[in-house]
Amino acid sequence: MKKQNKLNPKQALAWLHRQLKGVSDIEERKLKKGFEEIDIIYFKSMCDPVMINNHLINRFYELDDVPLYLEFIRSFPKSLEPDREEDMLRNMLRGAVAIFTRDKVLLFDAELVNTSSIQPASTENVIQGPDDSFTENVEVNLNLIRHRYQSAHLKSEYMTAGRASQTRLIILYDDTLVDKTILEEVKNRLSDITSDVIQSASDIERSTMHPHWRLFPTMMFSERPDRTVMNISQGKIAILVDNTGYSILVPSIFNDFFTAMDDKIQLPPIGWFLKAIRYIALFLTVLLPAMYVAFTSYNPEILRMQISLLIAGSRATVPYPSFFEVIFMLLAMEFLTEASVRLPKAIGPTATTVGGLILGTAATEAGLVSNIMIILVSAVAITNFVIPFSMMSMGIRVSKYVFILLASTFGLVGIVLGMVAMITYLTSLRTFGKPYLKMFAMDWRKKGDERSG
Amino acid sequence: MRHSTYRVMILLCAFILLLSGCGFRDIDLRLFVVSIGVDVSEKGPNVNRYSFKMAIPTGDPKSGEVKSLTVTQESESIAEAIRQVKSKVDKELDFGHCRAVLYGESYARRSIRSIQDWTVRRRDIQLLMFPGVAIPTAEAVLKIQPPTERVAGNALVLAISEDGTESPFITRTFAFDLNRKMREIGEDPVMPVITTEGNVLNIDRVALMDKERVKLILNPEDTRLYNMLDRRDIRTNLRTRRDGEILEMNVERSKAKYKIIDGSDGQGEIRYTIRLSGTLEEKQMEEQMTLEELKKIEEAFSQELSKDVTRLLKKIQETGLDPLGFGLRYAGTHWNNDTEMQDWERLYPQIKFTVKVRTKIKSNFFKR
Repeated sequence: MKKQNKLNPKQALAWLHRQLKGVSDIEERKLKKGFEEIDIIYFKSMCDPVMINNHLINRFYELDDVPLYLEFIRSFPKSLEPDREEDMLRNMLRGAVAIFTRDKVLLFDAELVNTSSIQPASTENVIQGPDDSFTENVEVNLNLIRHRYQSAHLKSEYMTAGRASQTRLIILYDDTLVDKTILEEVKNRLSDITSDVIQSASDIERSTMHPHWRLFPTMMFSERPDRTVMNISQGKIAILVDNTGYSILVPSIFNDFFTAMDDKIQLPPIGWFLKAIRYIALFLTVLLPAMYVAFTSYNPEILRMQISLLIAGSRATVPYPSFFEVIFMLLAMEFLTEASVRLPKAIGPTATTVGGLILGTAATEAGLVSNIMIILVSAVAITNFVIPFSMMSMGIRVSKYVFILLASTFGLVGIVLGMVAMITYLTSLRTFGKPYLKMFAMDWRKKGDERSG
Repeated sequence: MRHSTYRVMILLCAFILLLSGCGFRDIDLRLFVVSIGVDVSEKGPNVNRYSFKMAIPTGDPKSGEVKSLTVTQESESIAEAIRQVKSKVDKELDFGHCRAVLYGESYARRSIRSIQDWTVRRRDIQLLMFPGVAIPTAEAVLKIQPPTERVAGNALVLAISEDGTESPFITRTFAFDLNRKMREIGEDPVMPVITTEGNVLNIDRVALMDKERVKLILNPEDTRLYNMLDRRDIRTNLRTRRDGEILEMNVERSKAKYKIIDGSDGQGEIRYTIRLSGTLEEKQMEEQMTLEELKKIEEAFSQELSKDVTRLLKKIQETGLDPLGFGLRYAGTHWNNDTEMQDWERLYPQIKFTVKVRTKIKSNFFKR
């Protein structure tokens, strides 16, 4: 059965010319050899000129006739014969070269990939251990993972998402370990994406996770191939998104966001210690400001007498109630953090120095805030940065204001109330059907828990 | 339209945050009462002198400045006195850090029931407050500011709670415990006695009470023995003489237990077994120590202590008080619930005490 090309080259060429009116980075070449003549059209910006010269133009003159030439082109796995004009255009936009002969239209993949080389990880640093991070090219990323997980069980499925962006996704999993129901769920949700443009991993998150209003992330973005491989080996699913330097790991529970790769690299007791430190930091960063409000305004008897008197003494000149003081200082800290993130690297240190000076010394010397407050704000800032994932630490950054509000209206009772509410909220979250606040990744119910769906 | 209404509502609600309200008092608008003193007044039998010692916070911890204020108010009730004191100060009184309540001796000999009840009843006073008897008056003790004090009003609390010093003469008592013992059948309350000596405090005696008033104040020597019977591991020194030479032992561990034995003849016996261990701290004898000598020294300590403890127990027995809770033990180990306390009341005045002491000197430093 000879496959028949539905596209008429003449019509297709005319259609293409209509579509590409006003597009100036298009290149069209007519190649003639005796009676034979072909048209080559491609986007200059998307295609590799060396590849086109070597494989298409030189070969055309070297090979004897057009059928042989077409055979040669078809032997490339990525070349294809489009059925519809829209398909042809879409592939061209991705970097394919359209070849028009007298009776056939062929597409040849000559994609030019401009990608940054493999860089050391910048947001998930480790003290000792591998340093590579994902690039923005999905193929390179797949290469990085395959290198670290050399097993035929590592399956990769290609998908695209985004109507306009046509972002390539690769779903990676170990088929012997993965939970099939979760895999189905992931595929369903990915194919349900209706956005036009998918530009970052968080776009995927936003359009796949329920409920939309969440304070804590339920998908982990990692820029580390080693973490991705570790998670795949634990039966999780990794989604590589083209043009983002991150992989998405699902399902991710609360505890995963407090795991750094250092925990695995260091000796086990040290790993446990590091993790314990992160949880202590979590409690401190959430509760310290709220506790300051509760203790100075409602329940000073809980503190030791020395500290009570110290706070009372250092607050003597402070004109506003304690929650104002806390909110002002925390806001100042947030501004400082935000500013130092966005500023160019050359000015960054200046901002922190100026801000630190104003926050630290001048405010206390002017008697606007108490000394204890400065210690507290810096403790909050530092403990917040201990949390290894910025997505998680953002959620926590926000949630401490809820606690301050509760503490300034109900005192210590409010903090307890907030704790109960927070834990209830976290336990109510599900990540692809898995309970989110499953601590220490222990399976208490082996026989399948119907309620956690 | 509807959206904008919501936004305005939220904005209005946000403005509520700016209002702090009248009841909202920050820590700097509170005055912490650190100890309360109660004395009898000369104005009449119903009027008492209440003293409140308040800590004044200092802004600079490095200055080492310790300031406190003692306000005295005469009134018929303490609740009234507090309201009157409130109008003498500029800030809200806070009893959250009140850690000591002192009863002047003459007041304590009358009755502490109403004030003790008040301290437990009032919501903002903690139950782990420390009561004590003050000699000569509570006001005098409160006004003393020892030079070692670093935080206003803290020296008294540190000593009386044994958080700071650890002395064999201090009998630590909590308010909740005192209150419990004031109601308990078969166990009587005790309180430490605080006296003034120049500008330092001295807590080296214990006041034995019947249910509500001080009956007997033991001397320091007896107080130490009392503490040894009451608690474990009192760190103290013990002295004995051998051939006229003083020997001092440093007790590191002590444990006293007793058994109440019902005699068939209606006369009971309380058998105390005290175990001591420690080191020989001071030896004025010249001779080299030998093993036999050590045994003899241990024996001498045992006998000395046995004699002293028996004397103390008899002394307590004569007052009819039961601070060590013999009665409670008796009631707890007998089944005749209706009559056991009558039995005990008959038994206790004639009960015999035998005290057996085992002393062990662990490290004797033969050679060094």
